[in-house]
Amino acid sequence: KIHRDSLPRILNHRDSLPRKNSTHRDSLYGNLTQRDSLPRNSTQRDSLPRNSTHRLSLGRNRRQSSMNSIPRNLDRRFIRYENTFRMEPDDDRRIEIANVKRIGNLVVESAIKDYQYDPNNAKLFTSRLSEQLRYHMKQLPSNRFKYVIHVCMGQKQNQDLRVTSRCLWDLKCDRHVTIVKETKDCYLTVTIFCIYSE
Amino acid sequence: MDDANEVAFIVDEVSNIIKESIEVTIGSQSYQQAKINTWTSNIVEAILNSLTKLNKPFKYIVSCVIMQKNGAGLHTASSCFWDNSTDGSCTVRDDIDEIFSFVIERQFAYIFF
Repeated sequence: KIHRDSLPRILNHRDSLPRKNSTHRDSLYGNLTQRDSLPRNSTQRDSLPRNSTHRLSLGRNRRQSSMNSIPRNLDRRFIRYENTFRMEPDDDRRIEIANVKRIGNLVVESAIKDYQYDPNNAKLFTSRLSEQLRYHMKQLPSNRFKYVIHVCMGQKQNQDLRVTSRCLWDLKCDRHVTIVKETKDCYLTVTIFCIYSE
Repeated sequence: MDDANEVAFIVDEVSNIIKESIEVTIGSQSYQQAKINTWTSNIVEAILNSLTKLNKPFKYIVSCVIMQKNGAGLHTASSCFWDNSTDGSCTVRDDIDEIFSFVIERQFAYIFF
């Protein structure tokens, strides 16, 4: 009897030592470790007796219940933030169309003021203009919006041009602004789309 | 939960849809100023209809530029502030005899897991 009582104590003693090394890593980083480090953890776990692995897995399940609810094969890059349950923009985050239009007009007018159409330079001009507009849109206080800025510039040579766009989006939250400017020898069409994303 | 593949943005599928709708609407006709209005709206609406039939959780923006070939230069630029892993765009350029057409289609994911 004495011999049998001493056995559990020896097992517990062995439990405590390996658990110090591996519980931290397993519990905190269990599901999040990279695939290279998995074999290391598994070899450590194999050396532990059965009692301690059972206890380890219980702890891990409790601490990481939210991670276990997501299926393993789901691509992790789609999981960014928790659900905010916000379907529409807040009052203070709502985007002001008049504001967007005013900023757009300012930027475009200052860019096109003394501009002579130059085929070599035009490519750089349009890309720089769209990047400037994007920078200004990012400064707006509403931060749940995604922006698309489309700049179309051409030379005036009595040709015909038509720019059309259709969108499939949420009528309440998503907006667009169009600005058209002309100079002596070129025309410029700017369309800014603002899309709400929760 | 949806499989990750269903939500991903597949460029080939979308570019095929765009090319088909351009061919169907304009075909090999020459530039006709009276019809240009209907052409652009038909192209864009056809693309949007076929995109909605895919039944994916996306918001779409389709933009189409049609220009008569006159020797004039045309430059287009587009800059976007979005999420690179979930959103994408597809551009199709088409050079027919007298017409130059250019369609951009953008997708924004609106469902988060």
